[in-house]
Amino acid sequence: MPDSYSRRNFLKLSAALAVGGAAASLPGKAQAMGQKPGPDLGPATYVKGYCPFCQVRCTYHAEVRGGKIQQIIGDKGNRWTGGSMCPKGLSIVELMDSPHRLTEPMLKQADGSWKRISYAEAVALTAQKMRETLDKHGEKAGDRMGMLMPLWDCRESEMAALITLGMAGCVHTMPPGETCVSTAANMLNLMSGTSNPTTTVDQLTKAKVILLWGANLCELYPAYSRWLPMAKEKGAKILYVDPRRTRTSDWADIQLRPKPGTDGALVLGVIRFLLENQLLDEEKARELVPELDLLREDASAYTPEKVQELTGIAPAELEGFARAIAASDRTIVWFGGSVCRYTNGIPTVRGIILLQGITGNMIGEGRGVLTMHSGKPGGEHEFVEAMAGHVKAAKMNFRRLRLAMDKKRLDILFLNSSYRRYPDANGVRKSIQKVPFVVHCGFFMTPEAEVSHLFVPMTFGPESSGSGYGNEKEAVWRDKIVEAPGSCVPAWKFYGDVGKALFGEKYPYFDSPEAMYDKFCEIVPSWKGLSRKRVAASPDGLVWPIYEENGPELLGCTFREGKLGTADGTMVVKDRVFGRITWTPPKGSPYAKGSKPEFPLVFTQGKVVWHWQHTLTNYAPSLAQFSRGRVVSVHPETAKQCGVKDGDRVFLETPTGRLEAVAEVTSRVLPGTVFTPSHFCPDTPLDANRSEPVNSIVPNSWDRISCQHNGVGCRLVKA
Amino acid sequence: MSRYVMAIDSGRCINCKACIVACQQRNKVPGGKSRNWVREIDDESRKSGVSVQPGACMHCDHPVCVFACPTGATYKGPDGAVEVDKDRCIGCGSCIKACPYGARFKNDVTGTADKCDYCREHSAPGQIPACVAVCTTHCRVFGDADDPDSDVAKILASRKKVYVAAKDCDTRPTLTYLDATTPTDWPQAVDSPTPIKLMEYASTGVKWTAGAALAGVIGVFFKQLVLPSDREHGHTDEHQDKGGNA
Ligand code: SF4
Ligand code: SF4
Ligand code: SF4
Repeated sequence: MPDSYSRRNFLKLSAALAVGGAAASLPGKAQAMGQKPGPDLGPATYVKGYCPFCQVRCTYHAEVRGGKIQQIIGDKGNRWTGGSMCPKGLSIVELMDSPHRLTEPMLKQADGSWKRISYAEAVALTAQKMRETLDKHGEKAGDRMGMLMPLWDCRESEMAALITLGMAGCVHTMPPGETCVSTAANMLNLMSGTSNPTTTVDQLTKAKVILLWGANLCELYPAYSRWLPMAKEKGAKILYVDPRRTRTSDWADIQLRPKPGTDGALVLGVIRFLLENQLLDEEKARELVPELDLLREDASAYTPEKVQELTGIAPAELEGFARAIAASDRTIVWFGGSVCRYTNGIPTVRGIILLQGITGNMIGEGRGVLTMHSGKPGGEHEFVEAMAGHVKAAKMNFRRLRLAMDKKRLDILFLNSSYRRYPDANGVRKSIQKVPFVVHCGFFMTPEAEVSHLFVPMTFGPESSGSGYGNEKEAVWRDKIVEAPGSCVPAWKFYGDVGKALFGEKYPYFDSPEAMYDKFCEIVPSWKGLSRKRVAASPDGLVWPIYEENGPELLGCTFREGKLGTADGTMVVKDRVFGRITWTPPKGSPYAKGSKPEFPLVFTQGKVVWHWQHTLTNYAPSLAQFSRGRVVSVHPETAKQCGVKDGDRVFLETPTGRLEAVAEVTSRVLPGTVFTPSHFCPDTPLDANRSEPVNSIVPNSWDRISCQHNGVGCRLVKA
Repeated sequence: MSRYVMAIDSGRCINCKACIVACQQRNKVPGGKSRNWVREIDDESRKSGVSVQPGACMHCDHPVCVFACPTGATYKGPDGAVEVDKDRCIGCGSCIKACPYGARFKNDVTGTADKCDYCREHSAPGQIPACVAVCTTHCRVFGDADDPDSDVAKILASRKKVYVAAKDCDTRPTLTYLDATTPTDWPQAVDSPTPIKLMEYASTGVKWTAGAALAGVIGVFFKQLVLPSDREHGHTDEHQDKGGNA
């Protein structure tokens, strides 16, 4: 085809004609009125990146004109998302350009005001504070420092921070999971030998039953929603367990709505039903669960009547649900963070995994466990140790770190993420205030910035390059797309510069994420096939691990040898540490014996589409346009009992605090319960996203692994 | 000649509102305004308790906005799209008042009437409308309904077509819902000024002619936008293609 007829030339011609045509046919009234066309921003380039928010890790092409990102377009080649994104990922454009963004380092003065300082001063001061602690406390200095993860930038930034801390002898980094999903991840590891999801999302189309246990997919991982209709089109049946009617409910063939925090009783009821009614191949079940008889014992009390009493699920509903599970030899269970957001989450999660085990649904195509705690490629620890050396100290969890703050045994806190994620959030703030030097690497004047002594402005997303990872354990790469404003730096640079200032030549300084990534692949065998070039070229990254250069990705079931990853390939019912599978009401729950009658309602909180955690997304007007402020949902019957009408201003009160809210009266929550969105920010200029931290009214409850946010007794009082 | 239609399967919509933000971003819609929407009403018959209905300008076959426009800036193109020629628009707001769906607003930056144009103005070659591309569950399908190979033609042929129009106010929308959608008796008639009503039929012809000056070229031009597979070359340079550097 001759060039003059090429599509591009044709388009050029068409465009010229269209413009000319308009002008010729009506010499513009608009022009006569002095209106001008918008500025010509010049030609567009398209650069690849990924969304930093939820673990779907949508990849995109950013359209750049005139040095600015004009729009974010989901990458159509992404097999997990099909090119879709949710509004949060699109909002990064306005977050970068936000007029509220802080772009210069600042030091808190004695009178509480902020003084602008240079980036070099910020680095020198941080290094000096660390040096003082190192000099004073020698080998024990590492225990006087701590860090709240994650950093919002990239894997390389996280590793740079870990290396700098590691070289100072500090391993006390607080993973965000400790405030939610660590329980689930740890229990999955205990039961199956991996804390990662045991299969990949594409396997949903191979399953006969998809059991969404507390996994409100359409709200939490919107860009994954398409897998539900895709699986249904292939004949899958969707079972959904959630006390609330949600966006996800519309996809469910069966939804059970147990009272919040009673999932453990429900799963035991299902297990009992299957065993009692010989709906299992017991011999086969024993291959994976040799202690099947112990499980039978644990479940024996959970008759349909007992389950109804505890959960509110009628016997017929339980039966239909259990039979649907029994009828499928290819079931994928996807459990939500919510199943482990109550103090009784440990046995609940174990029970759900055991249910997969005894029905023969752990290993093979269309089987397995998906989670809401994301997949994490391995190798980070290996790499950090190789760079920083081995640190002997035992890692603290946040409970112990907080104790150290209270006892004034912590000198430096790197507050990289929200402290409001912890229960007793106001108490946590007071503990932080006892630390003599708090550094916040951030973006906006959030409570975290405000409680710090030093603020260091960070680049956001496409302002720097670096790798990330998502739910499928896939590594993704982001190019640097635009320049950062003011003195913003990527976190890898800040922590690297601090490390260099402290340790000089000894410090393994990487002058770019590219250099660190390449070194990483060199050192960590499971990353050999995940070269930067290969990952960057792929529209959705590459699934870890790949041991060979150019080796294939391994999708689907993790247990490729047909055997679980536990020491003996089986699942434990009676564990040395975590005991048997039992159910007790959540701590502080109105169902618990000796509960306070003044707090008769069950408190629950959770994510909504427009928020990702407590910070960044609260500053995006495009998200605020949908947010409805601090709403508390309550069932019409309960509202009536409380004397509350739709739209009333109310106080949501627990034994440890109160929050002002607007009542939403709706049958989408169960009677006797309330629900409120988790992730507002008291300091955002956007009204619809502003509220005191919800965790300020949540008591400081923990299970053996993570802190817990749901299930405590509460009440509604008209304001 | 192409006949562009948007079809929407509201039953698949998860109400994530990505389509709204994607549209605002692509089309540089000024703050607080939106070209498209997702209506939500309580509906006990749905498991979620809510019915949702994504929508936007219905690109009507009996477009009252066109009848209301005194300058010919708003016209119905022969490819089915109802267009606003910004150079002609004087920003008088007649069309905004006339549209019973509230699909139009005044763009404070351009000073002209604004509404869904199937992302015609702000798309690069090969791009489909932003709301269609971003939608996770593919509720929104767009294309040439006269091309039997197009997704939209196929889906229109295989599903029941439902239109959202009240009896007393049927603008003959082309935006087509699939199988069912709630509610269907929207919108309410808007009381447009009598002179506009009288002008309706006379003006239709005028507007069509005015629009036709551009229509031939735009029609084909648009086809190139939405059908990137019409490639003359065996290979294309992705970036140039997307960038529209030409
Ligand atoms: S679904 Fe998750 S990764 Fe995708 S755009 Fe939304 S928040 Fe970002
Ligand atoms: S993007 Fe799709 S699923 Fe989301 S609100 Fe719009 S139409 Fe509905
Ligand atoms: S929906 Fe309104 S603006 Fe769109 S064509 Fe119909 S009348 Fe005109």
